[in-house]
Parts: sequence; C-alpha cells; structure tokens
Amino acid sequence: MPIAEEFLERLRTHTDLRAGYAEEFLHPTLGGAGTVAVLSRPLGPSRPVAFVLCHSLGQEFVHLSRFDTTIARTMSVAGFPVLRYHGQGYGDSERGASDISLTSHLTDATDAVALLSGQEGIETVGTMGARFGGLVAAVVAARERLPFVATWEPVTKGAQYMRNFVWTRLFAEWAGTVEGAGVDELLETLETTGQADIKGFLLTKRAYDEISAIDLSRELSRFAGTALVVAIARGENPGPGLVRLAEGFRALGATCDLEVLQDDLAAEFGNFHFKTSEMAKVDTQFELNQAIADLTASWALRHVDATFAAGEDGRA
Amino acid sequence: MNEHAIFVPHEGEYLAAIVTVPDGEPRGLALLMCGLGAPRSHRYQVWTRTARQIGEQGIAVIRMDYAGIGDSTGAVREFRAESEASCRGQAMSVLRVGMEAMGVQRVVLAGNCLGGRVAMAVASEMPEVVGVAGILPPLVMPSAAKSRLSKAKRSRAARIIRSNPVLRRVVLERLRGMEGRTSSSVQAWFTGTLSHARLLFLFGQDDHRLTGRMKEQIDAMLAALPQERRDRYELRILPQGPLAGFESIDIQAATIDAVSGFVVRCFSEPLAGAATPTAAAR
Repeated sequence: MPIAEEFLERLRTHTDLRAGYAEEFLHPTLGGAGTVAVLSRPLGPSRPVAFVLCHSLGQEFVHLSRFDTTIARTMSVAGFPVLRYHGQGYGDSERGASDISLTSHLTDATDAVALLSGQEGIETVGTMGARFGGLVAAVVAARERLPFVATWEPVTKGAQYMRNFVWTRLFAEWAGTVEGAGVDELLETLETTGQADIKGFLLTKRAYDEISAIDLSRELSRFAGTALVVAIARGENPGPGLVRLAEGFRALGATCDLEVLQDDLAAEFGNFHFKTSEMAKVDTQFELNQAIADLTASWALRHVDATFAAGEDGRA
Repeated sequence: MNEHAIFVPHEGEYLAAIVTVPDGEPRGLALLMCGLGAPRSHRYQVWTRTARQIGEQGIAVIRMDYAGIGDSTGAVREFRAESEASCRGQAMSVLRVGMEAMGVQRVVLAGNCLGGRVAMAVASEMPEVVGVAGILPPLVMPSAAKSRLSKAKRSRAARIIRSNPVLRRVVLERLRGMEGRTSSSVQAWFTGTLSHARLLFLFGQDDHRLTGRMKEQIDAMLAALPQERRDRYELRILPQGPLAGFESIDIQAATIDAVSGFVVRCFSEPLAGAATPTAAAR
C-alpha cells in the first residue's frame, strides 16, 4: 500500500478559530540543512511586521519550547505572524549537536529571517528570543538592520554564560546524577579533544570559544530600530547587564523599552519548570510565559503602529 | 527516508507530530512518546535520532507532542492522574493517523517515564501492538507515608541526614521499605500488554527508580502469568549509568541502540502464540 502523502500534507496546518490564529509546518533549509519550522499567522488581517523567534542554547531549547510556542501564538492573535524553527543540532533538524555553535545559531536565524521575508503578505521582519536566543536575536537584528527586536532575559556576556554552562556539569556531579571530571579537567578535555560532554550536551571547542568571545554590548555597533528588553527578576530592578544593554541600544539611536516582570522563580527561567505538588505536577512558568507574551504583544502593537503611522518603513 | 510534520486532530486540540517515512513500503510503525514536559524530539534529539535509526531499517516512526507541550495546542498548567488517561487517548489518535497514512497493521510503542505507562495502557487496548519499550516507567507509586516524607526533603533534619553518609544510608534503607505498590491499572496494563506483545523495561545502572521493591512487584505480576507470556518480558539495565535525563552522550547512544534494536526485533521475529489482529480490531 502506498504512503498517503496527500493525507499527511493535509495535516500540515491547523486553525484555532477560538483563539484566532492558524499554524503551518514548514520544512525549510536553514543553516545548510533541512529542519522543521512553524509559521503562526493571525486569522484576520496581518500587521506589517512579522517576527522570527530565535531559540536558546542546549537544554534551554527544550525548557523554553513551550514559552516560544506561547509567544508565537499570542503575537499571532495580536496580528503578527511569527516563525519559530529548530536550528541545526536541535529538535527535528537534520544535523546533530556537533554542528551547534554561535555561528550556527546566527546562520540559522539569518536564514529564517530570509525565509519569513519571502512569505506571502509579509513586509518587514523583526527578531525575538529568550536567554541565548535573545543574544542571537539582537545580533541578527543589528547585522541585518532589522527594525524591531524583542529579548527576554537575554544573555549579554558569552564568557559568563559559558562558565555557568560548564559549571552545571560540576553541580550535577555534586548532586550525584553524572560521574566525571571537574571543571578544569573538562576544559582540558575541550582543549585536547575538541569537545566535552556537559550533562549530555556535546559542547565543541568551537562553540565554547565563539560564545565565550561574544559581548553583546560590544557586538551591537549599530541598531537604530525599536528594542524591547525584558528582565525576569525576583525584585523590582533589572540586572546590571540588561540595564547596560538597554543603555547601549539607546546610545546607538534606538528606542528601547526595558521592562521588569517580577516572579519568585525568576532564576529558573530557562530551566526545567515542572514541580511536584499535592497529587499533581505543576508548570511553574505557566503564568509567567503568558505574562511575558502579553507584555511583548502590547509593546509590538504600540511601537509598530506608531512606526507605520509615521510613514516609516521601519528599516533600522 | 523523509519526514512529515503534522497536526493530528484530537478532541478539539491539535497534536504536533513528526512522521519518519522509510524508503520503500514500511514494515511497521513505531510511536515514540516522552515523559512530562519534554517535546517530541526529546532531550538532546534522542527521539529524533532513534526515529531515524529505526527508519533506516524500513520501519515508519512517529514522535509526538502531548497536548499543551511543544507545538501542540492546549494548555496544561497542572498534570494530574486524569491527565494520564488523556495522554492515552492522544497517543491512540496519533497512532491511528500514522497507521492509516503508512498502511500498516502492526505497531510498536516506546515511551520514557510517563510515556512508558501510556505505552502499556495503549498496548493493553490495541491488539495491533506487537511490542512496548518503557524507559524508566514509574510503576510503583509512593505510599502515603513516603509522600509525606518527600515533602519534608527541604527541612533542616533532612539536610543533616543528607550531609552524613552513614545516616543517609540508614534512612534510605528504611525509605525503600516504605515504597508503595503497583496500582490495579498498572497490573492490568502489564498483563494486557503481555497477552499479545513483547515488553521491555529499560533502566540504567544507578537509576533510583529501579528499586528492589519495584523488581518484587514486577516478579509478582509475572508469576501470575503463563510461561509463554512471561517469556515476552525483558528487563534490561544499561551499564552506562542512570538514564534519567539522558545526561551523558554514552547513555543517549546506548538508549537509542537499545530502543531501535527492540523495535526492529519486534517486527523481525514473530511472537510465538501472539494473537493476530482481527478485522474488527483494525
């Protein structure tokens, strides 16, 4: 019996009439190989700006996957098409983890911008991302001179991020979940063999070196568009890195909103977020995800409408 | 081999899934399921890599997101006991779409954690299932006393106990004795699966979930079955270390090989005495 290709093709899309958006699975080539992407669109007329949602690094890709979906759908309901995708080495992509690096993240995101720009009815593209995805979104927006970028608790200093990333291995050893080397030995392994196993993530020397070298404040040498920086914090104040990032955007001539969303579990943003309580497992990020999505949609509506009402084409 | 991304309608929601289609006519279909919270590709692409390895052997594979997870629609803030029944229904919807699209009548299910329980629940209802692989399946539910103790994990007393190796060993021994029993549902799924399918439980060395109490419970369930059905069950412990979280590259590779090998074997070696799917079941 032949494979029912047409039957599968009909299932590539769905429409959520209650919420007001539709989604379509795409099989694009990003970063030089095949992968899977989802294009979310409003059911009504689209606004003139669409967004590429850049995912984070390593396990944060998994832990933030539902966050990314919530953002995409909330933005679509507000009128903005959003493309989310699996970069090479992640999810359903063709290649494996040995291909992951800062370069691969940037190439995937840049290709995704080109893909979204070519979709019917889309005039202008911006980028968004959480944690390391926020860094990628900001760099791509600056390099491609995109008019809008939204980042949520973005990584600003790659060296610090990589240090923390490697330390998670050591914490896991202390907790007794993995056996292996200390940080110094791991770094030596990275140097001599070109790769290391960080709690199951294949970290290559190339990825480590590239990411350690990036400092978002230095990287953003030009961006004159509109930016959103969202801090997820326990208190009322954003971290100093995000304050510097917002100031950096403004110094380049950009409009930048720095917003703080308070959450008791702010430090766990990007980590595993299901906790066992009485007779149930609870998603501790459920409300936070929606709050960030709502805040971002409001920001986009406010600034996109203002930009296009002023007759600008939004190019940064 | 190629892949199709689809949304499967299910009770007003749409479940995201990837169908891996082998070259040539598929010999069968495998469904890969995750535990709570992980998307269809699973951590470190473990299910994506497994699907492709199985696909190379001429078997179609589907990996799916439960409702409220990954790219599926729906919202899941809390996951309760009744959610498991919903997951079973979701898996069956995805499975039926896959079987229709691939034109196959024999399927194998593999699930991690919660997915292992869901796989057994589905298998016990579907005679088309010829094999189930459960990775770290939670079979023994904690007793009420142990549940209360687990809530006290962050207390000062618990910290003192954790910091002292001798105290820790003594207390752990006592806690192991307080573990609960398999529920009547698990017993029904276990015997229902073995009535017509192979069953593989996969653990890693040092996985805390594989306790002496759990082995006793499994042995008790097996003892009630005829030899022919007992022979369909296999417990495999991978020497590479704990499987929880797939937190090493070696463990990921060993898991992928073990699950792929099991799926291929289910379609290659006939199961003696297994019921052939009836027309009504189809």
